[in-house]
Amino acid sequence: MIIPVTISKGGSAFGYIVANFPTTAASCTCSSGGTVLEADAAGLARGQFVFEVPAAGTWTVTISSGTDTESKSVSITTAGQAESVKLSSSLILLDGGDECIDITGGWAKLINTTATIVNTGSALVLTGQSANMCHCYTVNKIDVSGRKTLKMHIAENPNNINSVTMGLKDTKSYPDWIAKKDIGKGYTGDTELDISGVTSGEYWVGISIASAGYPLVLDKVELI
Amino acid sequence: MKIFIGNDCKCYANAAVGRREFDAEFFDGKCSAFVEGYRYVPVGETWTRADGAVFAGEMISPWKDYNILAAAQAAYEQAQSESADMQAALEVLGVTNEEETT
Repeated sequence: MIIPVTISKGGSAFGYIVANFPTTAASCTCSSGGTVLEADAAGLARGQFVFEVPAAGTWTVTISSGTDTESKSVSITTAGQAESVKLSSSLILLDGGDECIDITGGWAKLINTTATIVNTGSALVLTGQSANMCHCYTVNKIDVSGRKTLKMHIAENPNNINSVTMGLKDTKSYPDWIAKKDIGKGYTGDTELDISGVTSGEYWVGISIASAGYPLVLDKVELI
Repeated sequence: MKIFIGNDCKCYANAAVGRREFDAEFFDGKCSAFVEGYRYVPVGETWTRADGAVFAGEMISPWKDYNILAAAQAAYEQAQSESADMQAALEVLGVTNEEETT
């Protein structure tokens, strides 16, 4: 049994661990043996905290958000050593060309149309065909328990695309969504949808576009 | 379906002072309990969640536990279906609805 001992930042640091994490994290700790250091409120709000570790050893940085936790280990061996660690409590569903198949089962057309989805190796390219929308969703339904935000990154979004809608679906019917966000014409960059009211359950996660041959490029999807 | 939103973008089925009216197909066929568990952020506007996250419209998402909203909607649809069945049975029996004949 580990007995937590909180040590405030002091002047006897042996080494330094810079923890970077989402601002949604409720706590961030750095522990080794029976010693537990805690990030303060300012650090949590900033999404970054510098732990001054008092001794050499393997230190475990842990963030928690709701029922989710994530840890990474950092080895500090020499006096004055500084290491950086990045933690993300998000559930990645698409990362470049990585479709995260273990979780998603891949990405495919939720509703069968002549639209196309092509994985270029660095992103998914979605193209509707005239009246045929492209509904690109995870093959598996995804457990959203404890997640508060659906975040996507749109790399390319020509103005010619009539509509772009991201969201959670429970049926293969258009236009039924549990939660949705309409993304503006031509918008590129990060876009987020609040799903904090969807406290549990499994849903298809994805995006629907209406375009006549103009491709939308999607390269990141995550649940935070 | 017409909906009304307050300053926090929460939806209401009825108009009231300080509420703005919008037309949202998303809520077609939904009962008032379902509608009033949702948040609607109009296009061009933003809403800030309690943790500071900012969301741009147009966005429609539940603020109340979706499982409760789905159960309310299912009960509403069941009641609607039973009402339609009852009406059909009365018509077969030749019973007229006095409210409709007056």
